[in-house]
Amino acid sequence: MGAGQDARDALGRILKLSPECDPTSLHLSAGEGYLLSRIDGHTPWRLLREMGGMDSEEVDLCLEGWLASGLLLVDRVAHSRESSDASQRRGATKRARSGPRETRKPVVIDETLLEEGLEIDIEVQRRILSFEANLDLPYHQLLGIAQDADSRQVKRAYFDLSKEFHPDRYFRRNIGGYVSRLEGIFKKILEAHEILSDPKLREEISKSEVEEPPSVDDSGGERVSGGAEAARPEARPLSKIERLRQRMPFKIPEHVVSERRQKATEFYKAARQSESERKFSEAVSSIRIAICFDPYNAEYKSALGELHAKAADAEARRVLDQIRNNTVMDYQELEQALKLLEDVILYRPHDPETNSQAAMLALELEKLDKAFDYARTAVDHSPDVAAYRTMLGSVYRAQGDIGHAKNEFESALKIDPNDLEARKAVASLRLGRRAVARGG
Amino acid sequence: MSRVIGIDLGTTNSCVSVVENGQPAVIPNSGGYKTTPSMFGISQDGKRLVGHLAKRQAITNAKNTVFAAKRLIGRRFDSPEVQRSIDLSPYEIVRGPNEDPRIKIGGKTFTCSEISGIILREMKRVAEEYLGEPVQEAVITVPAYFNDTQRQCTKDAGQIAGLEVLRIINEPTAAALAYGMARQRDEKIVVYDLGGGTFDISILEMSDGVVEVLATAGNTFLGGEDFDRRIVSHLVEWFEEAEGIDLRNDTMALQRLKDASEKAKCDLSLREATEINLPFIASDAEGPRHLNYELTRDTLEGLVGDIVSGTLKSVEQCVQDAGVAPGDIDQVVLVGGQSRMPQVQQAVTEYFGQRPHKGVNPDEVVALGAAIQASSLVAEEQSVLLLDVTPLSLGIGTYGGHFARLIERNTTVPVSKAHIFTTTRDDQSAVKIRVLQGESDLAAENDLLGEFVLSGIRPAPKGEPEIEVSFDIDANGIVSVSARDLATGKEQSITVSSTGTLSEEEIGLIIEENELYEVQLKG
Repeated sequence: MGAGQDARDALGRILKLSPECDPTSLHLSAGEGYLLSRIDGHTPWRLLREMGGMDSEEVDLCLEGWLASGLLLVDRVAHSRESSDASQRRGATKRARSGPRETRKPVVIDETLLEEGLEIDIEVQRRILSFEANLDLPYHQLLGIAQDADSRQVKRAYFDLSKEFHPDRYFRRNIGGYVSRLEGIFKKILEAHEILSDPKLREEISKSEVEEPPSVDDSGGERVSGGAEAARPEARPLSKIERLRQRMPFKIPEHVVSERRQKATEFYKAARQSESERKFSEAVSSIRIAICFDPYNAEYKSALGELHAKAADAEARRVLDQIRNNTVMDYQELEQALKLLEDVILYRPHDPETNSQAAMLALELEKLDKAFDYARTAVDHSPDVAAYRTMLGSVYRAQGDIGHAKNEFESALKIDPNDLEARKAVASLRLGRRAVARGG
Repeated sequence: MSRVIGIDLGTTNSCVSVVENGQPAVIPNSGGYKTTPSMFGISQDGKRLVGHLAKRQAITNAKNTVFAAKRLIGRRFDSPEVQRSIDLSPYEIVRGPNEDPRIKIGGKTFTCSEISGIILREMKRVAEEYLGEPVQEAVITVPAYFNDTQRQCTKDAGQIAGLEVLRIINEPTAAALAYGMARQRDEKIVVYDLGGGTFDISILEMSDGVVEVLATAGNTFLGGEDFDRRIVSHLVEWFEEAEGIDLRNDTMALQRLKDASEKAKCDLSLREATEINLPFIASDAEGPRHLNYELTRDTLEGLVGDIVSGTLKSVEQCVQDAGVAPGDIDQVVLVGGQSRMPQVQQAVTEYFGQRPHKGVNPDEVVALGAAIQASSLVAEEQSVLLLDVTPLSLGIGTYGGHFARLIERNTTVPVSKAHIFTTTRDDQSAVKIRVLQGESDLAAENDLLGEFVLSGIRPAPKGEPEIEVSFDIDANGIVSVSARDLATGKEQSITVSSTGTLSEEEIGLIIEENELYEVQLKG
């Protein structure tokens, strides 16, 4: 990591979704989707890294990518109390472990990793570390050969590097952590040799190397979002998982695949049919079956998201109707209703009506933090609706922030002088203040 | 520092070698022989006999003399190979508690690792006598086509013999190391290894001290003994026709026939015909009968022609896997006693369009290579670097009984491979990872190396969770497998190669027990 304070600040950044962004339009892996769903304007970067499912580097790559593409905004930098000591400690050890890999800057090696007293020369250690720092180079550069090198030259380079880096060279010697470094390097050399000595793979790779200049690799933290084209998350270097998926180690027979695709299509149609009949939960289960038969179809996955949203929407509407009709609800029902609304918000994070309703329920349940977030979001996205202002005002009042509350109620009245709720509130605040003044 | 040795633990004969002054040399045993029979027997008076001593009494004590135990090691009792051995062996093979085959002789039951351990201990003793110092470390060779369990059991055998096994390497690879020691040129070579009990074929590329295995193939249940057996059954049939007596149930007669057949087979590598004379092979009411038969090379070639052409199928597969054409091969090296047979040499010559290399002794070259690898591993400056491959595909069992390969056979090690798998039921909370090795597309037909369960998967519709299964083979050939739920980061793993058929305690007990017999072995 770089300078201590800056690094801590960077990890303290709290992100929120940008208003223009519609996450349902993105094609994300499950891990990335999960990560995105955790971005709620509360969780600092540090905790996002520990959510699981991805390792810290991957999380950083994703977040930086989304930031650069404008999908995310930095809301604020966390107060230190937001991350417990324990999580900080965990974060710290994690960082220490993955430390060397983060120092991607070529050639510069971390001198603290050099170790006296091992049965391996310091100079050799230096060589291993600097070779390791460059493992992401294109394959031919890794092997130190020209791009058009012939198979003999590939083989020679592979043999020479094997002699240097094969773990057997240090068989049973005490070389500390260098065992796993050597294994890592050797595996990469092996991969380079495997691909460069296969003309077909080699052609594919050289094509992709042209399309994806390696410069995308240096982490895009300082990147100004001007070059949004290049910095879209898709343009980041392929994650480990994506690379793996591209090189499927085994093939399912073609006829099985096409049969399964056929079935998937049928269920997809059934889902759309149910959707047109507004039977959203039926549609969701059909689309789930379709995904089983064709798990990598992005269209189905985004349809699942969309239908989920609609199903949640429909359910939420039912609940809101209940509330509007003043059906009496107990605490548990209220909680359930809030949960439903939150489900909807997950898919429609910026819908002001839903947010405002959620704020109302949260307020009722005395979850003031949540209530504030939802009310704030509603107002941010539709500043000209009196009811949303009134709701925000009520939340402020409940928090005891009378000044802000009054502002909101007055703004509401400005927008709609007939807003009863706001008028009552302003009146009672005035009364309250007068009472306070008298008492003082 | 004590010296390290290389041991070729063969099906019929074993051989030990050491590197002295940079040159590998075979160590002769006290009888002056360069190879020692891989046999172990318990005499009528309870004495334990190994090697030549065991072989000498095998005829009179067939029921209590073990040979070719290598064919059983690391296999399951129910496997067809073991069942076939039960039909053919004069000694008793019983089902062990871990479903492994065990050998019952002299009223005691031995595991296969134990039998191999006794033979390895003898080889260790041969080396110690010759070097005049204790030996603790060795490289042991196995057929290239041995699976992980068979290798692990061989390692256990080494431990039982009091040896630290530096590495298990493949026999053809060892042969290539010995052949390649003296060569300067860059070459692609084929090692055709037809030994007593196994057949292996490997294609290697060597250049300036690096030996890379390109591909390997073979059959762990085909070898010289099959040739002998063909001759034996031919003789039995002939004798039944000529004399009207069935020898099939007469173990002593069978053992005599087997010895005579082996000798006749060797004779026929040098001449066109040989006489088989077995007086008093049987008797009936009319008195004793003698077996007198002239076996010609033509007859023999007729008897085993299909075995020889069968080996060429493996050759074909190996050539394809290596991605070379038969004409690209610079040198063909023949290994294993059975490769001396003119018919075998001719078949290989025809296939590769060139005469095989004559410079190596097929009985000794594997042990020499093992010694070279052993001394190179522990040396300050390494003379050779071996880039070995995993001989069998590794993967996991998937829905519907299929086998998903993660590491293809002939992949250079060390290596890591991973793939994403998913659930097959809605809200499935756990998956069972069954680690398999083999070439069949059906899980059930491959060898199960180990299994474990990954639980705590977040409820989701089937097909949604992403579970990354990673395989890792390190330079020592140790396989470890892990499964990770990408959504939660939860991980489970297993180290597969620690699962031989014997536990640490069992090995400890056996070592202790064998030490009791140490006196007898030397005496």
